[in-house]
Parts: sequence; C-alpha cells; structure tokens
Amino acid sequence: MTIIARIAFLILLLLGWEYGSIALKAEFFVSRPTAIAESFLHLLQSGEFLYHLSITATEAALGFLTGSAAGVAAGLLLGRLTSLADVLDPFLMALYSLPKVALAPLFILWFGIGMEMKVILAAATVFFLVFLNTYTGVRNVSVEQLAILRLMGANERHLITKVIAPSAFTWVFAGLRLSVPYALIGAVVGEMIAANRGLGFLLSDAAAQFDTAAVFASLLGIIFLAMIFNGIVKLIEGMLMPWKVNEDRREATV
Amino acid sequence: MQAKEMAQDHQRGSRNLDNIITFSNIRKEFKNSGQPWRIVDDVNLKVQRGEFITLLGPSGCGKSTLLNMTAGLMRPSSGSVSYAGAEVVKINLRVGYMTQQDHLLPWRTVAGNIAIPLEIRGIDRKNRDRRIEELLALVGLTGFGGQYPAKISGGMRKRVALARLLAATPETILMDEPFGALDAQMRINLQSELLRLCGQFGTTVLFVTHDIDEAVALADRCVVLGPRPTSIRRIVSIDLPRPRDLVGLRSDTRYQGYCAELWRLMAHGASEEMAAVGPSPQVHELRA
Repeated sequence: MTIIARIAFLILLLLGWEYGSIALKAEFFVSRPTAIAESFLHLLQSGEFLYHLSITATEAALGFLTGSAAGVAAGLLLGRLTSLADVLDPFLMALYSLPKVALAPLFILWFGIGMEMKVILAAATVFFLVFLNTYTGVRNVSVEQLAILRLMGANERHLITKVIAPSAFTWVFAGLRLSVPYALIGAVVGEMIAANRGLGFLLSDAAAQFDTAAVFASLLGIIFLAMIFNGIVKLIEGMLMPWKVNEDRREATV
Repeated sequence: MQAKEMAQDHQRGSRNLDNIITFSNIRKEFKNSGQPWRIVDDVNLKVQRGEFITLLGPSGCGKSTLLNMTAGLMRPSSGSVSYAGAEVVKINLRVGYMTQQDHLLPWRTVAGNIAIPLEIRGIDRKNRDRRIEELLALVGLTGFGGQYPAKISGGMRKRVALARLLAATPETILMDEPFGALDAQMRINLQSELLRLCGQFGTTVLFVTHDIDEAVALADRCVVLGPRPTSIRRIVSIDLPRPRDLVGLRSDTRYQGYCAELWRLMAHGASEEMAAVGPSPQVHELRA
C-alpha cells in the first residue's frame, strides 16, 4: 500500500514538475524531468557519470577510512588518558566547532587541488565525529552493569571483554554511521571548490554553464552515491550489531 | 527495637543461630545539593543463614540502600554491615543481586546474558548450554534464548535477570522488588520457584518489596521499615509452615491475620507521616 502511494506521489511530482515548468516558463531555473533524464542518460552513455562517480566515491571512502581510523585511535587513547583529555578538551572543542569546510583553502595550499585534498577534507570531518563518539563510549560504560558483573566474580579481563569493549563498540559504530554522509559532503564540497573531476565538479561545472538539467542530473548522481553508502553501512551494522536492528523495529512503548 | 529483635532471635534459637548478615547501627547520609540528607537512621538487624527476610516499606525509604551495603557497593556513613563474620568493605562476591532495573547487556541475547556468570566461572560450552536451557524453562522463557533484550517485554526481562541470578547460584540473594512488573500468574509461579530453590539450597534471601501480601507469603521474618530516614518499625515473625502453597495460603486465617497486622502498621506509619508534614508548623506558630 505504501509502495503504491509512494509511486503515485513520485508520478504526481514528476508530472507537476514537467508541466508546471513549461506552463510557468521556468525551465531555465528548474529544468524538466524529461530534460534531466535525457542529460543523465547522456552522461551515463558517455561513461562520464561512472568516471566522476568513481572519483567522488574513492575520495569519500578513503577520507572515511583514514578519518575514522584516526578518530577511533584518538578516542581510545584519550578515553584512557583522562588527564591528557582534560588538558586538550578546550582545544579539541574549538576545532570541533569550526566548520571543517572552512579548512578547504588551507588544504588546497598544502595538498594542491588533486584528490588528496578532498580525502583530507573528508577525513577531517569524519575524524571529529568518530573521535567524540569513541571517547564518549569509552568514558560512558554503565557503572551498574560493571557492578553486576563484579558481583558475579568478574575480573578486569571479563569486564573489558564482556562490558567495556562491546559498550564502546556500539558508540564507535554510531559515530561511523553518523559520519558517512559527512565524508561525502567533504568530498563533494572539495570538488566544488577546486577540481576538474568528480560529481562536485560536474555539478558546479554544469551550473557555470547554466545547464540546469545537468545540475539536476549531477544532484541525482550524488543522491545515488549517498544511498549506496548508507545501504552498505546499514548492511554492516545489521551483521555486526543485530540487537540494534531489533531496537529500530521495536514499537514505541511509553 | 533491639530488645524485641533479641527476643525474636531467642525464640528462633532452636532452629539456627548462625548469623550470616548483621547490620549494626547503620546510618547513611547522602549529600543533596550541599545538605546532608539522611536516608537510613540506626538500623540494627541480624539475619540468620537460610532465612528469608522481606523488607517492607514505602517507596524511596532506603530499602535498596540496605541491599547495596550488603553487596558492598555502598558503605554506611556510620555503623557496619558484616557478612559471615567479616565486615563488608569491598564488593561481596558471595551474594547475588537482582536490582530494580534488570541491567541486561543489550548486545547479548537472552541466552548470552544468562551465560555470563557461567562464563565467568569457566564452565564449558556444552554444560553451559544445558544449564541455560534449564534456567530458561524455569522462568518460562523456553524458546526465547535467541532474542535480544530490547525485543522482549519488561516482565520477560525481569525473568531473564532472575535466571541470570540463579545461574550464579549465590549463597545469599538480594532482591529489589523483583516481581513488581509481572502479572499475577507469573508472579506466583516465580515466587513459588524462588521459595522452592531457596528451601532446597538453604539460600539466605533479603527481599525488598512494597507489596504486603508478597512480604507475608515469602518471609520467615518481615522487617517493616518507616519512611525516610528509614529505621526498623517492627519485625514480624511469620510463623507459617513450609513448604508453602502460595495460592492456598490466601485462604489461611493466620496468613490473613499477618496481612492485616502489616496493613495496620503501614497505614499507621502513613498517617503519622501526614501529620508530621501537615499542619504542625502553624500550630506551633499559634502557640508561640
């Protein structure tokens, strides 16, 4: 039923867009679904789309991997060394509140306008999210759960393997999942600022040429990539943390 | 109060004089926004090995605090708790504690949660699995071993916590309103099961409840606590024969007598409390 309603909504939207655009003579600003589809097909057939998509996907994925690895490592380290964490706290918070995109000019200066700069930009964004989640996860282990296990005779090793590690892991994964769209943002924004390839470049290039249909086609491509990324994360989460899936499906109880 | 308790100890002397838990002059204060806030005021109690004690009192009166002290999770502000002859100064590994919240590990299945105490004791997988099946059957959760805690109801989670507690086979069990969230049928099943197991293994139980029927039905002695700061108002020996048929008990006149007595004690306490916080300041002013 929902599926039918969704399809009906999509058809209505596309029809409204198509004929509304013609009737209001607004094609220059909002294009038309048929024109966008044509532009998209053209990009697909010429192989351009896949090329740019693979560039952006690589940048986002590399940024995600390096950023999250560094974030987990720093989170675990500072989670254990609490006095160091206290010293660094205001500085980390200052950096965290800085929109990472603002670092792009600096990164261009340092790393040029190649793929490295986008990877670094994506990694910088991801790092803080994963770092903060890991740090919180290590610090926020339930005291009660630890006490219950201690009463059962658990030693330190039991506590780490049965409570602390799994508890931190759920936080780490929450951070990873949260940061996936940000990796993509880092890559796309980097490409829009300075690049000659990638979906972000495709987008800004089309806009510069007033090719509205191509702009929408590029946006479509970015949405497509984001959905693939989220799908992969969801899949991995379902495999590694089956209890989380259950929580999502649970009905709300008051 | 102490005299009464001693008289009761004397009365029970023929059965067993082995004290396992002793609360001596227990006081406990917390800091509440800078002000000391007394929760427990001068509690003295001797619990004998194998005895089933119910602690009956209004909500928030510090019953859980007494359990936390016995478990070694909390120290009294003054006075001492001793267990098997030694003062409890660190975590007490000889007790099993079923807290009000179940504190199940959300990343483990029902069976995985019950397995924890068995894993800690290093029991091999085959024996562990067999024991888990027995425990699941005991708490009426056969077939639910593979579920995650988030997916089952609150009452079922309580039963998992109970199974986990029993898996550890502790010498003494501390229970904090364990059966509050259960339906009447399940509650009576688990109460009977608890009595049977404790009778079989000679387990000592400190059982916190605010349910008068439950307090009478399970107890050897029911300790009636007053409102905060809590002290012992009365200790009522429940001289009903064991093993007890918890359903049949309801029509027993002695049982009904005990319930009525406890109701009077509790109601009396409640009206006293109302009077204390009620109009007394104004009366005082008028007199002045």
